[in-house]
Amino acid sequence: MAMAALRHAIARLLALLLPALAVLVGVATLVFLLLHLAPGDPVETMLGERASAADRAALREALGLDAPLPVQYLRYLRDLAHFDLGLSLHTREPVAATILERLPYTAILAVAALVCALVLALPLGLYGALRAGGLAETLTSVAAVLGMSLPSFVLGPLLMMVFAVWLGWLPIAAPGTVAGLVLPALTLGLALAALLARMVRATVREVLAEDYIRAARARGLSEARVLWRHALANAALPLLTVVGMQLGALLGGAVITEIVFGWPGLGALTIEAIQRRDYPLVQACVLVVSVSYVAINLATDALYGLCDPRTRTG
Amino acid sequence: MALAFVLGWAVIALLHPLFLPEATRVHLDALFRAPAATAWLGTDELGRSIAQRVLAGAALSCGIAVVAVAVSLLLGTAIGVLAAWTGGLVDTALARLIDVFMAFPDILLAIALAGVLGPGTGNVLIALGAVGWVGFARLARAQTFALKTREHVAVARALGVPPPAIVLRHVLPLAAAPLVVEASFALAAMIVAEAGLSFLGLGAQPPTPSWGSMIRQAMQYLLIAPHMLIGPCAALMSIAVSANLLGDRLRDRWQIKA
Repeated sequence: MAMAALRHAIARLLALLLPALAVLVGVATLVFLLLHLAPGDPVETMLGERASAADRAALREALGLDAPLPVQYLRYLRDLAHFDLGLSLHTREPVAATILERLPYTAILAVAALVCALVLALPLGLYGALRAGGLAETLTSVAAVLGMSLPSFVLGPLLMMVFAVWLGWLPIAAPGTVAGLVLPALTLGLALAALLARMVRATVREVLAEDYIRAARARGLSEARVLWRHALANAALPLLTVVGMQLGALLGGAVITEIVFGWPGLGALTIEAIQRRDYPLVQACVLVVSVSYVAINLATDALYGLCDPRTRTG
Repeated sequence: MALAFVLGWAVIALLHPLFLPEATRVHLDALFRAPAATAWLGTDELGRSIAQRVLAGAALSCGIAVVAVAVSLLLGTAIGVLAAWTGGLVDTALARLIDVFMAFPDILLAIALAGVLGPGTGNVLIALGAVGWVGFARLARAQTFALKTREHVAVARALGVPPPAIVLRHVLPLAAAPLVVEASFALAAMIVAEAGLSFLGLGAQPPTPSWGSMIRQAMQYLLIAPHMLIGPCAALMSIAVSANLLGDRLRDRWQIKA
């Protein structure tokens, strides 16, 4: 009995992981092709145009760039499997170490943005669901369109202008501090907040029309309990999916937000690497963000299974 | 209203040669002027009129976005229809390819591509097209799958109409509405993405005016000349909001789900 259950769990896990692994190999391949088929020679960038042919050949060999492309590709996959992301062309330090140094900043920013979004979206969405056609409804609709259309490099400077320059409440840019986190998190989180508020409003309103809500009310439960225990709990699933999907988009959006506020995360690192033509570092940054994206989507799927008994098979 | 805004910017973009000379003329005696009657959005760090630069920048921002959407639409639809129509191994391979592209946050892939290719308008176009086709391909594939089994398609097949003709005359016209809606949203996204790349210094190079690079300039002088921010931000917002609203309206009118 227990064996069968275990085997079932493993099979389910594999069914979830294998397609994700295939996508990851595809992602790694695409990133490899992206950088190796690009014009421009990293050796020339590193040594300058006046380097001797012998020096160039030596460096090319040292970097493994003299091998044919398929060989380079296989080496790259082998190194990846060992979590070896190579050395930075600029600092000659392991790329993985540099990335680990910067990753927490992006993670903190993304989580803070998510918290911002939820804190704003839940009350606004709930209010909108309870009062049809009210101020909250107009507000969320307008905010949703604005949020979708307002990129971080517009919203960020505008928030900076209002809260840092005019009101003077927050620093313009204070990388790595709590006060310095507020504006970037708001910039990144507002669009998500608008989207979530609209979601919450729509799903809660739908749920409130269900029979079990009427039953709960008929049993004399308090309105707060009906809302919390029955309406929100059932609205949580679609919300979770959207949050999962958007968290990945948040990682992408973080690139520009980090540049706007000088926040020292992975996004800023990617741009620095691009400017220095540090190809291994660019490759690794893009790879790490994409892998996180795939991992988050996978985790969302798995969580969905845990939260909704109906999606459990067998 | 939304349509009027989109069309208005299109007209401005077409008229851009009228604004360009003034937009790049340097006035060293009029740096950082606040908005006034002569320059109603003020002047920038080289004394150039911001209003003129915003109008001239429309050509680049809207032009690139329109071309990128057109390329994405054609390429994506072709790939999506091909996948669904042929089915089998071709479909599996193309579907996996779509999955791989979906695993990248759009803007990151565009940034990496534009960064590797080097700054410049043509490379921005390549980067945006390389990212943009995916959404259309997914949509076209799903639409074609649904339409493939319709009766009129079966009849056309039985009558011996060649497959390209069936696709062009009997499948694409029915799949067009959702694709047009998607194109409207994509237009907003592309305008924002182009500005984002310019903001990062990966797009058009100075002195060519573009909204993204103007916002970047404005940020550097935020403390002494905050008015520099207003023009390009308002322009970008107005067109992105209108294109998104246009997409919303079309979706409601044609009653397309999702």
